[in-house]
Amino acid sequence: MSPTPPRFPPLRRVLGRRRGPGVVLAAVALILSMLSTGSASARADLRAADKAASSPRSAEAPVRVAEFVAECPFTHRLPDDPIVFPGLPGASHMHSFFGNDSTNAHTDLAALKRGRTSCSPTTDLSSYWTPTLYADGKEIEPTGTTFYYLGEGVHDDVIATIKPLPQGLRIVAGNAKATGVGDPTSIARWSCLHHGEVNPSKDFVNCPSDSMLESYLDFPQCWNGKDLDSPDHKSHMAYPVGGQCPATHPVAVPKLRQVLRYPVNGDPARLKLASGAGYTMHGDFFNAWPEDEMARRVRDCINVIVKCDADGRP
Amino acid sequence: MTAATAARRAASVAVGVVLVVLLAAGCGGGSGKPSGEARSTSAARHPATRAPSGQATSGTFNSSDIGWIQLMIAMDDQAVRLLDLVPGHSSEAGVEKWAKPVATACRGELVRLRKLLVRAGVPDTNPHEGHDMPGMVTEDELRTIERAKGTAFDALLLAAMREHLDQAAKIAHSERSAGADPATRKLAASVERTSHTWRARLPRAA
Repeated sequence: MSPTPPRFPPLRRVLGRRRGPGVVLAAVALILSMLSTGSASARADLRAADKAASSPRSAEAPVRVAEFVAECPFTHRLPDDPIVFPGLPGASHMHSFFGNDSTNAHTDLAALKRGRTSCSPTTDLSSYWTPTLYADGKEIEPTGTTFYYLGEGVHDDVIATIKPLPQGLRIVAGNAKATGVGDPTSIARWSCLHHGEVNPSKDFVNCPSDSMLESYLDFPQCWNGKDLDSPDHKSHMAYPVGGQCPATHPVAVPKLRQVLRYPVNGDPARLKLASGAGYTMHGDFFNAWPEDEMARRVRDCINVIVKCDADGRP
Repeated sequence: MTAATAARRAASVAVGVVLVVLLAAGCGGGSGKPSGEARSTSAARHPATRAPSGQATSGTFNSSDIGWIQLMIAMDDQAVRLLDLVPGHSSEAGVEKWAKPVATACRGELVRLRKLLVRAGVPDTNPHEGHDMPGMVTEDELRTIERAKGTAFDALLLAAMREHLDQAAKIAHSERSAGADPATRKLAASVERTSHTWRARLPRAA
């Protein structure tokens, strides 16, 4: 299943489809235009490029994607947050947890290493959590829970330098305080499974009855190289600018893309997150991959831009 | 040559071309962007070697301290807004008599909490605004209570304050052991004590 949000295809796929020198030059022009125009319009450019490249599609053209993956089903719910409220059980709004089944307010790296996991591969002892989704006040847990680790978002020369996510790193993505769909600090993205005709939105969308509500969330992929967390839980990480990591956050790491599919559709008025409206969607990640397993995947899948299987093999 | 190899070669040519163009742009100085980016790329090849710390700290404050201070400010702010409704809405002298010193105590807590936040170097923004945090008087609750009068108001007020005080006592108790900053832990001990006191004196709804 593609990790790509509808209509925001990764650059690699666009480039992978055509091979002639003219296309290479066009790709260079595209990348340069992205450098000068920033990521928002770069995405629009990609959209146009994808349309142009999508037909006719060469059957044997391989898709080069720097990717490894963990599928981590729902484990439990708690009003706990070991990043924002460590040691303060019951202090948080309700969270749904995925992966490590031991996560609670007292979770630290050592505790995660002792825990068990719902993830495939079972080597991933990381913890992932999001605000719980409610439909008419009843909890709805996602049945599709895929956590992609990607190279996309930075240029290929930077992808080649991507370092493993350090053990114990905590990342929060999204803004629980976002004020509306026009709020640029919201990176929430809701869409409908297999129904690309429904425009994605930062708020909940109305999905047809044969569809599921999807949430895409991209985590920041540039690390300051020093801190596993920061007082605001954000400033040790940053998003890339123009395909590069900023000088303040020079270490490129894999981009975590959380893709959740909820068994719910129809009128979004009855939906609510524990943090509020759809645009307050956020995700938390506490890295507990074994260092050697993470390092192998970064080396064999990410740096060389190869799509790996669940075991992290090309 | 397989299709995969061909594609890989073509892609590596593309990467090479991109690199050359990027380097050229960096020298030209016209675009302005690439010089900073080149620096960050080289830094990415040499990540910090020293062992990073774990939980975030800010001076003597750990993440529990900061999380607790921010949450208590958000909760007390809402509680004060609720308690300020009492004079115009309640019909019980006993409720008014109880609410007044509680509101004063909440305001006192807020002053001390905000001083701690300043010392921690954390900006006074409310990360829980608009959220339904456990025990917190929410915007929805406030809207409903505002429209109530007399005994209906009293019942809603006392139920909301009971939840607030129970939660405040509970997380203050945790903060006393989870926190690091001595002054913050001391305030937590005080909040736990006074929450229990006000809770014990909470009037019964009529």
